[in-house]
Amino acid sequence: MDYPRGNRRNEGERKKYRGKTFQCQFATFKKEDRRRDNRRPRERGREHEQQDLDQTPESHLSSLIVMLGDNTQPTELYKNIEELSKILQADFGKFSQVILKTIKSWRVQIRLLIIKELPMSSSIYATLVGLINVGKSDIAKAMVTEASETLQQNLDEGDWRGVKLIMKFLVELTNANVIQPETLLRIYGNLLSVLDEPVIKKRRADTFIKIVLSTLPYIGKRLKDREPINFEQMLNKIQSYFNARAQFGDHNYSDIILSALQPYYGEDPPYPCDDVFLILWEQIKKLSNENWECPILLRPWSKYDSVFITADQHDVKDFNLPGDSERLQYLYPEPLFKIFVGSENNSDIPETSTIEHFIINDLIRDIIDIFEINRKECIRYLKEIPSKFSSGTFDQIPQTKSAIKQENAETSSWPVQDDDMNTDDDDKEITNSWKLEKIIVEVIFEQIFKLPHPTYKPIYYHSLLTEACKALSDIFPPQLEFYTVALRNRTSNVATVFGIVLELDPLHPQLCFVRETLEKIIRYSYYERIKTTLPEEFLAIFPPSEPTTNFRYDKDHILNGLSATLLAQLRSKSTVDQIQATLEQARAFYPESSSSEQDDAIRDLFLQCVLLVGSKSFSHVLNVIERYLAILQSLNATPEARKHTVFIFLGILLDKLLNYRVIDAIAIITWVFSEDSEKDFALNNNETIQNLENSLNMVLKEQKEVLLAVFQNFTKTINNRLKEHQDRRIEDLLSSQWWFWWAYGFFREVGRAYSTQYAKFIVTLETLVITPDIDPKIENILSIIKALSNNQDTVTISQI
Amino acid sequence: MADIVQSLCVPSSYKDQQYRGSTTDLEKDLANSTTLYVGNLSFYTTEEQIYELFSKCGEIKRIIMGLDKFQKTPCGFCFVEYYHHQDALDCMKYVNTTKLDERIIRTDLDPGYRDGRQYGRGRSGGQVRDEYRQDYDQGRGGWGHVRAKQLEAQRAHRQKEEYEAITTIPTGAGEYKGKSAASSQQHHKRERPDDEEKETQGREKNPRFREDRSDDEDEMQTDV
Repeated sequence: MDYPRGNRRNEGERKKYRGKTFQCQFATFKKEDRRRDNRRPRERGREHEQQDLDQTPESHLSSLIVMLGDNTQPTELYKNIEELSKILQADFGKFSQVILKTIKSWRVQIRLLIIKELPMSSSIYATLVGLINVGKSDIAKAMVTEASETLQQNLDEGDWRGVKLIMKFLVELTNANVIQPETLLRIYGNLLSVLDEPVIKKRRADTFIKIVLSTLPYIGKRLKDREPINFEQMLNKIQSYFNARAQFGDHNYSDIILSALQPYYGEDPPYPCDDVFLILWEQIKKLSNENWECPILLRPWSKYDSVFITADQHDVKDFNLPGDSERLQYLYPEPLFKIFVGSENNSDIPETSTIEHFIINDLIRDIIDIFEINRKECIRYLKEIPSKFSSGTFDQIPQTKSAIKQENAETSSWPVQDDDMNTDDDDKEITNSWKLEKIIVEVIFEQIFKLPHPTYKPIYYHSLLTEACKALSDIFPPQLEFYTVALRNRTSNVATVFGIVLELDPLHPQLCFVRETLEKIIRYSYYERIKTTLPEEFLAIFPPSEPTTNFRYDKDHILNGLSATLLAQLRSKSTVDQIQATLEQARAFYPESSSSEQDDAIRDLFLQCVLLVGSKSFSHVLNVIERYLAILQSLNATPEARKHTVFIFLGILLDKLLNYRVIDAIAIITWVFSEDSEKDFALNNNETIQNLENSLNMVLKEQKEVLLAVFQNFTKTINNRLKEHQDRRIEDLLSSQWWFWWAYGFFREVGRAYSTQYAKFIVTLETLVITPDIDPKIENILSIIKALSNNQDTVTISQI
Repeated sequence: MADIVQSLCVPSSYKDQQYRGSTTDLEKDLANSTTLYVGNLSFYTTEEQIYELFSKCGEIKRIIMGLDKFQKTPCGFCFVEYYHHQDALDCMKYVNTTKLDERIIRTDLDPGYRDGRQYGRGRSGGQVRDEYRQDYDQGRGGWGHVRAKQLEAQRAHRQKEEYEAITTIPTGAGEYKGKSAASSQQHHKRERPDDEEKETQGREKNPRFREDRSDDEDEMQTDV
């Protein structure tokens, strides 16, 4: 198949095809406005074609709306908001009847999409709605209604991010005087009604309160000014929840989960891995003490305060919290993730104790999640973050305030307030000069290391890092490098100098990290290429020669002749019967052996030949396996035989054989935990654990059996070791015995990753595993499984 | 999730001219496709490297290397087939336009592999794009085939122009005088690398190609 780029013949057909079929509904946005400086000239032709196809008034408007949020120049922002509000009002005049009848028409939906998908611009859009509200309050009313309906819908679906973003929009609408502060407090009250439930469940309550807390920084000041008493009451209610929560203390699932999900475990983490939820409450309290001044936030609506005052305000319908059900996945407690800690100079990122840390990190997280479908756009939005905050927040985008003022004076058609009369904190100079790229690195890695699973496949985050390096080529790579060094130093939590790594115990995590990284690079590239780029001292841990085959039946072997025949037959695609016949000849070479020993010899011969033929490439090996599947299956009829096959194929092809049902998962597990491979446990760890996971994923039918086997084997192995160490009186196993460090780490990982599956037969598991002398470490894994899988946190707090 | 930016996991505008079926069929095939076309590979990239990268998005069912129609060597494309549609989509989002073997590779959703599609459709055996390519690309056999021919013609022409017949015969060369005309013509012929030589140039040894071990070049066929 070819892609004849230079071939003009197909151009016409191609256009038609593209236009008709794969036109994403909102693709116009991208086509029209996103193609920026770095477009390749080749695609220009298509752009025009695209515009012609999609230039309906609707799409034109939509693109204007999106573009408003895109604008990076604050000087133009106000002008654009005003222009757009006029356009929308005029346009709405034409279509208003239709819109008011069908409230879910495209326009309203698109605006809500924007709210949920451009979280960084909600204050700008709220200002827009505010201006529309002044002229045509029925449009704004329709929007508020739609927003509250979406809120209810997102709540019922358990889409917590959606709830949060709609709440943030309602909050900004309050700032733009479209909603009364009193109304907003009532909505908050709806969310906080979770605390009035007869039995307060911790994770459920945490989820709703976290949504409230994450939107408070944007509105705190106005609520404090306009509704001081009610606002105070609300905060007190939250405070009493936190008091009750703290008193409840130990033995609850949230704490077990928190410790199970910590990025660092062991004695001495580089910083306290506290729950982000608790930190957020501390940040909010600090903000409250500072009179809710958060100067980094953009407040485009403040310019129009005097205009907004004339507009109507709209009511928001009360909504109901969804009942507690299995369907709702409440938020897990989230341990704080930090890379840049310790003695390094970290004044260029927000301090953890301040609300700015939460606001910025949370926004980056949302953008990364929302724009997963297009990593390039994702980076573009991340890059534009500085324009969504007050100038001076980040150390990019130099802008002068006086320039903005002048521009406004010239262009504004609204009777706006003089800037000097703005709320006083507006005049505070912000000189944080935070490094956005540093925060982005931290958040991306936080997502990669997120437990029990990252939200998306890890490769998404890797590609995102690559895009970031391209888009921010001057500033991003150094941060990434700095991070990588920090990561390596922190593997196992012991700081060392790089050179010393090479002299460590072969099981030392740092050495394993370096070695496996090298092996991985070889597999992506090729042996010679990597070898020539390495410093000499690394050759000690580098494989001494290119990976090659290790064929047992060389010319000294008794079966050498037979193996040659067999190889020739395999290559010439002989029939199954012919191969069988050749294999049977092997018996003659071992006349004295029992029939089962002969079987073993035949199986070994066949497997070795299959591997040799297959060693040419991945396709070759699959072809040869598929062609002689019948033979493989007949040779692998017994568990011992399967175990033998596993041993020969090692990590390479296990998942494939498993798929073809030549071997079963139990055989792999037995092999992994067998005496022979135990010593290589850590050395082979990556493959082994992957194989385990593959086995687990694949065999749904045998799942219970497999999972039980894994658990029991882990328990047995670890118990044996524990006894051994107890006899030798070695304490502090985790930091002194690397074998134990690895094995226990994997055990935790399996428990954490498969908690939902394990939970289905937790009772069986407990009866099998729990013995009077069970080690607390193994009990700990059991409790992790129980805690993680239990969405309906049974640990409750009596009413406040 | 996001609707206001275009998702990366949509098929490109390319349509396989040899696809048998209506546009609706194609749409349906693509909507459930588990197969990806991968392009702009180096001729030297091995299946294992492709496997290593693409298995990041899910378990791979098979890889079909694109081969030169005549020489049966890799010619810079392949098909990767997954077990799940979602894995192919993820690949479009995460792997498309990243680098493999120091080249930016391109992936595209494919309606599904059929026998015969593993061969290049260019006149010279490779992909059509290598037929008309104007630049020099070391990973893909140097110049495009058409360009290589042009360059060769130019070179031959230039050589012909600049060629000066020896007019003054050095002293002492008298004894070879009789042969000089014939030999100069032979010389001329030898200087110009003919098709044979070009062929070998194009077929530079691939260091990662394990052809020494066996001889069945056509193993790539999927005769299940």
